[in-house]
Amino acid sequence: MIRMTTRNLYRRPVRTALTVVGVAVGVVAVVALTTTTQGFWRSVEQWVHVSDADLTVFQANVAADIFSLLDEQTVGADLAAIPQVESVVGTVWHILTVKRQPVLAIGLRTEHLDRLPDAMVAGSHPTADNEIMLGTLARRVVDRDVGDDLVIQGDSYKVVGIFRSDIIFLNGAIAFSLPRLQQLAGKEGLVTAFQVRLHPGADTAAVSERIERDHPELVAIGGASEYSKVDQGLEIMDRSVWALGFIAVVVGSIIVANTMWMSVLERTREIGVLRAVGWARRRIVIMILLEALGVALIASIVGCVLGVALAQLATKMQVTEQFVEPVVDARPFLLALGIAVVLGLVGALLPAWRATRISPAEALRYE
Amino acid sequence: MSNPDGTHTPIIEARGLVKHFDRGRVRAVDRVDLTIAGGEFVAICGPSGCGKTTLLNLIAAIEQLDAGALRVDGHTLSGLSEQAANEFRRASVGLVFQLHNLLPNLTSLENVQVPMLPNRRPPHERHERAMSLLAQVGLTDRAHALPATLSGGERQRVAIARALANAPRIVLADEPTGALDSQNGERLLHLLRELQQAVGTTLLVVTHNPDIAGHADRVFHMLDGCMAS
Repeated sequence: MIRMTTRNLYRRPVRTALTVVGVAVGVVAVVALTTTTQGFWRSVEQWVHVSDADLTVFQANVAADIFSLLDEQTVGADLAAIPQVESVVGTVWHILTVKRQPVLAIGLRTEHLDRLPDAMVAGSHPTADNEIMLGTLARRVVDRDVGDDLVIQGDSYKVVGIFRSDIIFLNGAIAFSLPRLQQLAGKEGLVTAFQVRLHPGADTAAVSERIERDHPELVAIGGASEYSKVDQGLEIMDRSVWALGFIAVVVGSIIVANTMWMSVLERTREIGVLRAVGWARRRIVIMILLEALGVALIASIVGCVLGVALAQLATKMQVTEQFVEPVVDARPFLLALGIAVVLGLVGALLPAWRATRISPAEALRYE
Repeated sequence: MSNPDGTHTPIIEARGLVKHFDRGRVRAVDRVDLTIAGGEFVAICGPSGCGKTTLLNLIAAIEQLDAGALRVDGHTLSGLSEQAANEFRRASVGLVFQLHNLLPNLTSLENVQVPMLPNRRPPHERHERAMSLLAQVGLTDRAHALPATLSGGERQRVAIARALANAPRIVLADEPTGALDSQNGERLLHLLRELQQAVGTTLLVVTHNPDIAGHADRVFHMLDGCMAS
């Protein structure tokens, strides 16, 4: 049966190849988006816990995390007053245009700047307002190294360090002293978020709940799964993947159905012969389903390979490499496999039903 | 199948067979009576459209009869369920068509194995049986050839091997020489005759070619759906 299936697919190589391409396009899109979205989720999870923070606190009801604005002194003091809180560090995020490229700028008080990197690649942390350090990707974007000067919005800054982080968008960032970035961003006395570290053994969820209860204007985030409180972008991306997966299944099923329908019509006489020599309808259905699954599986393999390649390519472009690195694990492959099985079965249902309707006597008369 | 008294037990018994098409407007088989003993070689001759293929399809349980009684190899075919009809065709009947009807993307060897696939025979047994049948029809060296690379005569010989795959007690052949030249047609009939005698299979051939009659034990003539006297 398996041999018959492969032979039948091989018999019309161009049609099989075109079907595979048609189905694979949807799989490519799903795999590329899934690996990219997973990269974002991983980065967000790491970002929430940057500098070993247990919670990151933002302004509530903002369109996106970067629009959050909190008073550094009053909110910082309120958070620090919570008994379970060990330390509170205010941070500003801002998007700067440097050399016509959008670059993420992070501001921390100089005494906290050593918390940011996972490792220093060269130089040291800034200790003065006119000093900056660059993530490894930012170094490439702005084309500066330790000891060089970089002019940003008319002011000159000395590059004193190059750092590396496991968080991909930190590698694409420029780290400033907090007051200087507040000034550059026009956010004097304000911060984007507070990184809150709790005493060992403290109940993170309870503290988070307390912050949000006592300060309705704040949201406290303890992990990427809660990030939608401050930014719905990731959830929208996730939903987009599912929507795209659904569209891929529908379109792919139609393509598979068309191919299998043509195949069944072409083989009416053969199917009649099989029925005449004693094959049951069920066996004919299995043959058609196996063929459809075969096409779909080939398409899912092709789609996975191309999807991962596309995601790698897309995230290696200068505008994206600072923000995301695709995560390639089992999930996109399982998703692609699931899509292949569903669209193979759905696409083959109607042709398989048609095949079972073929009467052997009529089929043997069929020219 | 000989009885102790030398008579043969009927393997095909048809009484008053009727088959209509086109909502009853065309009577393809009209009150046909037929008795064929086990091991016979019977030819049914008649012009195109006289109903002989329909009669063959009724005997093969490919068509359902509208009236009459038909008993083949111990099975009563009227009212046979689909599953029972499938099993009957697999076990009792081998079919040879005018156009060989081989599956084009399978080799000769694989084509011969097709009727054996639903029987759950181990692959090596299927392979051995198919090779043995190909040897009987003189095509051992063409076992791995695709139908497109075989001559018309070779394809029909593969079709005969396929018809014998499940060792049926009856082989039904519909114009088996119809697509062959006279020389190849003659050879094929000799082969069918040899195999039928060697295995003791009942062979029923329908044809419009009266020359085939010379090979058969008995000949029936059909005209307008009826058996001519």
